[in-house]
Formats: sequence, C-alpha cells, structure tokens
Amino acid sequence: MISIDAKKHLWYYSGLLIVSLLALSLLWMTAYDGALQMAVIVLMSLFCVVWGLLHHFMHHDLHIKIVLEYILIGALGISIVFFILG
Amino acid sequence: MHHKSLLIIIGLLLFGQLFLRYTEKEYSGVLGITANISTGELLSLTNQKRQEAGLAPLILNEALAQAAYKKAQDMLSKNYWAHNSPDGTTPWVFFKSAGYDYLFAGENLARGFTTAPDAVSAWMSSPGHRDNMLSANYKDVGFAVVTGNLTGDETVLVVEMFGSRNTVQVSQATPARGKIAITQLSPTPTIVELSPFPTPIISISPANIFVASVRSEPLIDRKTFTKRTAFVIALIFLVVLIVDLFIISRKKIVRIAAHNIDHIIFIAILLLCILILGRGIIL
Repeated sequence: MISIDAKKHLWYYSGLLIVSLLALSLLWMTAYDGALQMAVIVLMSLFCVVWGLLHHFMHHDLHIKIVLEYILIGALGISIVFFILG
Repeated sequence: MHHKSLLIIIGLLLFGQLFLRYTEKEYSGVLGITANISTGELLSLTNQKRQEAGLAPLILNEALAQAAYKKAQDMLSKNYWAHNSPDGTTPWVFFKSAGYDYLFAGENLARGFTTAPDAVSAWMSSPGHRDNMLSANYKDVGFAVVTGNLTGDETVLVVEMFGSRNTVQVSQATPARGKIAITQLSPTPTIVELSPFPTPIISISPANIFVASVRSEPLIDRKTFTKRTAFVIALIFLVVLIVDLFIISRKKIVRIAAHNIDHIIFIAILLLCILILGRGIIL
C-alpha cells in the first residue's frame, strides 16, 4: 500500500534527510580517501534500507516486494558509487 | 520500479567497473587518468597572481623541482596524503636532500585536479595556500606533477615547493624551519649573525631546469567518463521516480510498493555525492 502523504511521515523523511545530509558532509570531508568515501556511501545506503524497512514494519505494510525494492535501491546507490570509485 | 530492471542495471554497473579496470590496465592509451597540467603553466599562473599582488615573480629552481618530485614519489610509495609522512619525515627533509639550503620554505599540495588553472585557483581560495603563493619571503619555486595510485585512488599529484636560499651563516647547527601552507610554523628562534661572505645565490639557466612532470593523455579520461555515466543513470532514476510519484498521486493508484519520496531523497543525495566524488583537493 502506498502513501504519498509526506506530512503523515514527516519524522521519517526528516530523519532520512538529516542522515543523508550528514553523510554528504562526511563525504566532503573525506575527499582525501576514496575507501573512506566508499564506506560512507555503504553506511548511508544501509541506513536508508533499514530506516525504510523499519518504517514500513511500524506501519504494518512490510511486504517481501517492498523489502526487495529497498535492498535493490540501496544496492543501486552502492554500485553507482563503486562504478566511480572502484 | 521493476526488480529485474534494477538488478540488470546494478549488474551492468558492477560488470562495467570490472571492464573499465581491465581496459585501464591493459589499454592505458585508451582509458586512464588525464593530467593536462604543465609545470610551465603552473609557474606562469603563480607568477601572474604574484604580479597582480605587486610581488616579484618566482624563479623556477631545479633543486626545488627535484624536492617536489621526491615528495610526490614519497607520498605515492608510502601511500599518504599529508605534509608530513607517517614516519615523521617533514617536507624540509626533501629541500635539504635536493641541496636547497633554505631560509624560508613552504609547500602546497593538490590532488585530483585536471588543469593547472583549477589547482592554482583552489590554492588561491585557501588563505594558508594563498599566503604561500603571495609571500614576499620566497624567491624560488619548484613543481612536480606526478600520476599514481594514492590511498587506493588513481590520481594526479601536484607538489609546489617555495623557498629562498639561506644567504646568512646560522650560529647553530639546527636549521631554521620554514612554513607550510596550513600550520604556518614560525621560524625556530636561533642566534643569527651575518656572514662577512654571504653565500651567493646560484642562478640556473633555463636550459638546465629540471621539470618534474609526468603527462599522461589517454583517449578517455576514466574519472570524467565514470562520473558522467553514473550521474546520467542516477538522474534518469530520479526523473522516473518523480514522474511515477506524480502519476500515482494524480490517478490515486493503490499498489504494493515502497514510498517514492524516500527513494527520491536517496537518489537526489546520491546525485550530490557523485558531484563531490573525485573532486580535486588541496593540502
């Protein structure tokens, strides 16, 4: 079931945005080390996957399709960065 | 968002990276790191900035160029990105080993830049590096542009070393310390007395100037290629997700799927990450 009501999930989107922006600033600060940057992206992607799944679990709409979708989107993020830094 | 199509794109990206790595290794003339930075251009731009500030131009010095080259090689061989090496070797060691007896010394470092104007512009934007470039204490300069693998990243290193020769006799054996771009170390207080016979400043004819520079120009620059490709893929995903969000909200479609907004946030942040990755940095 999809809900596009951003207000209803404000805390969820705010948390996601804050952590993502934090990861972005970490990425800026670790420009001297590609391995560290890769680690930051992996951690950010993992957080986004876990955060999303947790949110769906709390709203009782966690489905295997949703689990797969989050994992694949996270993997896409990691593979895009791996494509650049690898 | 079809899982199969997502899987195919992930697979293509991973396979593509392996393919690029193989191509870079086997066909370095086709794919590699482009370093369009010449020491002549670095000197010209540095002196241009100095002249704008009303300062005398720096003279390209063979010993300083050798010191800069040794410093770059030291960073690559010991795999570090710092003014001082992990074993405590300071930049001043390279000045001395190259035979440059300095009174004032300074060092600017840059990596990941593809053109000389970009590197010089980055230095000029940083107060510490700018101080080095516009210091009236320096008379000579040496550059090294070296390509290599540093901390797991194939990159272009630019080392710029400034100095002015010690023309006075120092009463103690301890050498005067110079300053580096950021820490700006003050000279160690020593009793200095003027020598009745100052050491003459050796002028080097342009024909003898040692220019430490490695220029590699493959057909395709790997960094530009991978960054642009990754950016386009992420942008396509972002557009698809936004269009999808717009359609399902307008038509009030109900389906089993994850939220689009969180994916949009994730991909948008990823786009910003791509812009940050691989940018040139200074030290």
